[in-house]
Amino acid sequence: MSQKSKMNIPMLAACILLCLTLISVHMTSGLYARYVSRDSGEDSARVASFDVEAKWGDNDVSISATQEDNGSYNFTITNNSEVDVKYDLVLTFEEAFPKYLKVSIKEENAELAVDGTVDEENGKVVSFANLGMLDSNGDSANYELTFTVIDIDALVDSASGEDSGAISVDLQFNAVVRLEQID
Amino acid sequence: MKLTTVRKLNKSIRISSATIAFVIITVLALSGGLYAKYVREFSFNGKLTISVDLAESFSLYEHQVAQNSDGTFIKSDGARVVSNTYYVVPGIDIPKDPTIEIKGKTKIPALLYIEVIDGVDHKEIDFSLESHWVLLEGVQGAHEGAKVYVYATGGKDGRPIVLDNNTNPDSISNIEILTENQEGNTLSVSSRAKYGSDISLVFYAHLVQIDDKYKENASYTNAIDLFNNFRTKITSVPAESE
Repeated sequence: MSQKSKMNIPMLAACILLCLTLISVHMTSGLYARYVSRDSGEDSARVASFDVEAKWGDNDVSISATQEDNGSYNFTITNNSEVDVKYDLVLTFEEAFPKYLKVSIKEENAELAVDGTVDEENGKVVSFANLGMLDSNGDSANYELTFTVIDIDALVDSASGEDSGAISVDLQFNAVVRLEQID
Repeated sequence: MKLTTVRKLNKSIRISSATIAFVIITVLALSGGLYAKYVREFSFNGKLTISVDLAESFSLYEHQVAQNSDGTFIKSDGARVVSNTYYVVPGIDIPKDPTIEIKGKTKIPALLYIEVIDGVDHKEIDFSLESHWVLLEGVQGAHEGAKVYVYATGGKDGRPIVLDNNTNPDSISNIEILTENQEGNTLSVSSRAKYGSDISLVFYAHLVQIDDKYKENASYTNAIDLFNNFRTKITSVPAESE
């Protein structure tokens, strides 16, 4: 007598699914040998600090033109920022800058002084554009701003009271040091 | 169209507009931020005083003169004036004492000069200068017709006197110009003076700064040179008589 075995289809499907599941687990669990490469990165941002300073010495300077022909102001610019800076200097006088006077600026240890540029329109503004640059993190520069009498006769003529035996002229000015971050 | 549909459409449009505005503002802000820079200004107020010490103050004066009822003149001991006007008659003496006073010591070296405009007929009124005034030959004064004299130790070979911090204040407090006669500082009007004559005698004084080279070698020659090329000077008010 022959006996014909019957195939249990649901059981067969379950077995196939189980096999596929095992294969998937195997592939994803690392049991399957392969080369693996991983990399990671981290980006962060912080705003750079801007900490600059300009310090001046004495406010009042006197020139006795009989004895010497010039007088100077000293000031220091310091850059404690995390960025480089450039700067310029602008002097604004209450009256037109007199023709008997010259103003120049010289960085400490520099060989040459730079003359200021008088604004031609109103004559009251003297500027030193692009005066210098400072690196970040503590760079500093010392300057000497010097006024020089270049024509004493014009100075005498400009003042009244010549007969009094002495003349004196006061010049009031405002100086602005402008510092700007360099890209 | 139903009302609810219209409301939904309007709401949708509002939302879209707000979204677009937000996007635009954001883009502008971000693009602006790309060009923002740190800038800071430091302001400082200064005062520059420029002075020129020409010399100590000085003046040229004479004492005021009053006329008595008899026509004679009398000098005041107090009042100082820059000029006197005289109505003279022949044969009288008129007080005149032009004097230079330098108030205190000069801060800087200087030479003292006078200019004399002599409008006097010496046959009518004679006068002479003190010996410490040395005529600078050929030097033209700042005023027409004026002769120039320098304050010196005396004589043509004398050295100009340098006035500076080392000068004795007493020696420069009253520097007389005219020679005193027996009557003191007076001018004698000759008895031969003509009626109606105009008499004029004018003095000017200058203090002129000198450089060190002149100070060390003050001489007649460089006194002339200095006067002709002085850098700065002070001129006194004139003492004048008419």
